[in-house]
Amino acid sequence: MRKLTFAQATCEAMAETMEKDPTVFAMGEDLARQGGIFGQFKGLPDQFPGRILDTPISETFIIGGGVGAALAGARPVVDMHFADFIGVPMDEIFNQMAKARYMFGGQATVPLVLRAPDGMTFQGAAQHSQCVEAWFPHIPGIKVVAPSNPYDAKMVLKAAIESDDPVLYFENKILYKEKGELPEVADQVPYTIGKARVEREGTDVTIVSYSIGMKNARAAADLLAKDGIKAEVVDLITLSPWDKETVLNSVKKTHRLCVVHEAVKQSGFGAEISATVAEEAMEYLDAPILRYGAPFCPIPFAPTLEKMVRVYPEDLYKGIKGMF
Amino acid sequence: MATEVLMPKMGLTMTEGTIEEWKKKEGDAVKAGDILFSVATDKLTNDVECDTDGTLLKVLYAEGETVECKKVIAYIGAPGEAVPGAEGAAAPAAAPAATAAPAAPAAAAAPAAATAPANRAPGEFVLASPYARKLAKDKGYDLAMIPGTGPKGTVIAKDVEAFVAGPKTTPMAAKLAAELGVDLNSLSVDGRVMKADVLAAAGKGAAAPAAAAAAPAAPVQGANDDKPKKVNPLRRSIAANMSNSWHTSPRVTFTHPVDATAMKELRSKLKEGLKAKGIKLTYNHILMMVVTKALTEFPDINSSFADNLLTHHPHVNIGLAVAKGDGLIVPNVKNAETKSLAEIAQETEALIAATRDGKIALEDMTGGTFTISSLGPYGVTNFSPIINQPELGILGVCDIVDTPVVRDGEIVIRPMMNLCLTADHRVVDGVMASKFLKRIVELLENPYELLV
Repeated sequence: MRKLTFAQATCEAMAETMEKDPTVFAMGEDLARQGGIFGQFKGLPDQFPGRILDTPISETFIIGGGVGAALAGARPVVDMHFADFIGVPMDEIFNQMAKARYMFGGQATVPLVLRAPDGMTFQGAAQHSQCVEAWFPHIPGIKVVAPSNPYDAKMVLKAAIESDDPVLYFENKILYKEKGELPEVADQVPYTIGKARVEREGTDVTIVSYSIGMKNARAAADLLAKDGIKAEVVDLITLSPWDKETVLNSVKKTHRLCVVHEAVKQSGFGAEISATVAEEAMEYLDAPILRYGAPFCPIPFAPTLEKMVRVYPEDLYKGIKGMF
Repeated sequence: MATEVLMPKMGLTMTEGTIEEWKKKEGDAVKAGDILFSVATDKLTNDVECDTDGTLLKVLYAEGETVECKKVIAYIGAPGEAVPGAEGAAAPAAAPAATAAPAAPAAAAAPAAATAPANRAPGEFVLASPYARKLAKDKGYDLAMIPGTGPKGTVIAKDVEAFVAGPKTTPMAAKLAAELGVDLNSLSVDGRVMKADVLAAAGKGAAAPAAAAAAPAAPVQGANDDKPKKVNPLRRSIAANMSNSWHTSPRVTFTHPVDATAMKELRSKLKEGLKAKGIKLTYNHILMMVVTKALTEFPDINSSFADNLLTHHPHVNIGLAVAKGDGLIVPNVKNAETKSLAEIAQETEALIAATRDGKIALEDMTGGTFTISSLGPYGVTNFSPIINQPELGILGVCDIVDTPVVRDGEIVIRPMMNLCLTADHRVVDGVMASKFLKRIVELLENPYELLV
């Protein structure tokens, strides 16, 4: 086992796929010059000269160019710099990237990965701190993933690059520096997009999350364990197409559901999970569903206020205790 | 390990208590000796002291809930300490997969598994989790019967799992059965137990149709009526006991006049002497002594009867109905046949004082073998008291009224008093009741007989 950071793990995924497939290349702002502003492309420009490209500050071009390259047969990985900027190329994303294969009657595919660093760092303020993943599972034609640890970061990114359909890859900025164990390359198990993982088995409550929300899920499960409550922690990993079956099976076992993400609670992806469980497993619920996310407000700049919009494990602990 | 707070058993016959008030809230620091909560039994309300220092971690039952004796009702421990029960060690037991017997604290925290219905009005919407609904449906339980322990009293899965179903009943039948003390499991009814079945069981056979006809429907609320309010535990207890007695004992009331001249004379002669000893002598004391004496001569009346078994009580525990605030309590003097008039007087007055102060022990209110109820001070000259179950008789004592009576062919004025004996005809036939009453009259009219 090796210990790598989330950012290093994504580099490994890039390197492995780029070595194998000469059509894989990356482009975005500050990639070649700087190795990505969070170090997520570090070393790659030297390792693969001419395949890690810097672009002008034009998100429309970055995505539009990526879609064009993908249609022309390449496997581009494009970088959004901050997920907050994803509104600029929105037409390229939901009308071109997502629809091209359908519009061409399947004669062309868009094997594109759009990497989008998201989430609150420290004092990133309202335009550099957002989690916008919930906008995209609403769009047919895009796969959406959001890994929560270095090993998944690598395997999910590899799967995304190998996918013939466009994948939106959300990577949390705080998680970049987090270390985790990765097996040797020979022992790695490929990830299949669309599969969730029961990270921790339990019998009393199901906590579903993804990306950085998993930190809350795990910590809350630890707190609950001290009180003898066994939480089952499910890491969704993929938000679209999401693994309903794993979540429903878990809820049918534990009879309680808690969903948590860093994104704003209102219309967050937790709403989709909750609604699905209410639709398909209502009679298995022994308590109302609990949903945690940020309050409905822009992420404040002031550190004290920023703290107030974060979700903490203690919030989940308290809420879940109230379910019994 | 958090310390368990149990529902106290404050007397041999106390089986459950109602939490009237929590004097401390969850999270409050408590010290040994602090009043933690007050508990109401069917007879009285007591404050319960805390016997350990710490923080009140968790309250398992809210105010107004009735809990079996010795059940865990709260936990005290160090701040933040985990408590067993619903949120701790019991959690696995709460999971549906766990079919094994739950751990002790879980069992203690679980709702009373009984055929007694949850305390809901007929037709009231039952708050229940969807899973609890599914479980109840699968098991064929009536959700309305299952007490809820989840948030806001919601019936949750573990409540359904802890529930032991009796026969299927209508909510009204279940409610009546609880009030009348009818064991639903003893009924042999095809299909659902209805109100009439319970009444038939309570009223025994022929009485049933009449009882069923008389049974009140849910009270009708008029536009100008006050909102119905729940009566206190004492009133609930009186209501249940009286209804139960009414349906249990086929009773006959026998009235017999007594010439109270000798009794008055006896009292006036003894009064001053006893007063010097600090004892206040009343007619009730004399009546208690006289009835005790008569009861020793009629063992079948100093008995109780159930399931065709007659139990003779070797001692006379003579009860006296005492008005207490808004209710009625019957303390009794134990082994009265061994006691002198002074002792009976002294003990009775102490019991009455304790009753009115609410400090009476449960033992003093249970185990009675016969009851005297006196309405003399209120000018009543005839009434038909209801038997205090499981006794077989009760003596109603009326006012002493100067009345013209014939003595030796002359009309004379005598202080006359009616005694009204209600007897349970299942055991006490008319002749026995009359003889017993006659004996009481003899003893009152010639108290020297007490010395014989």
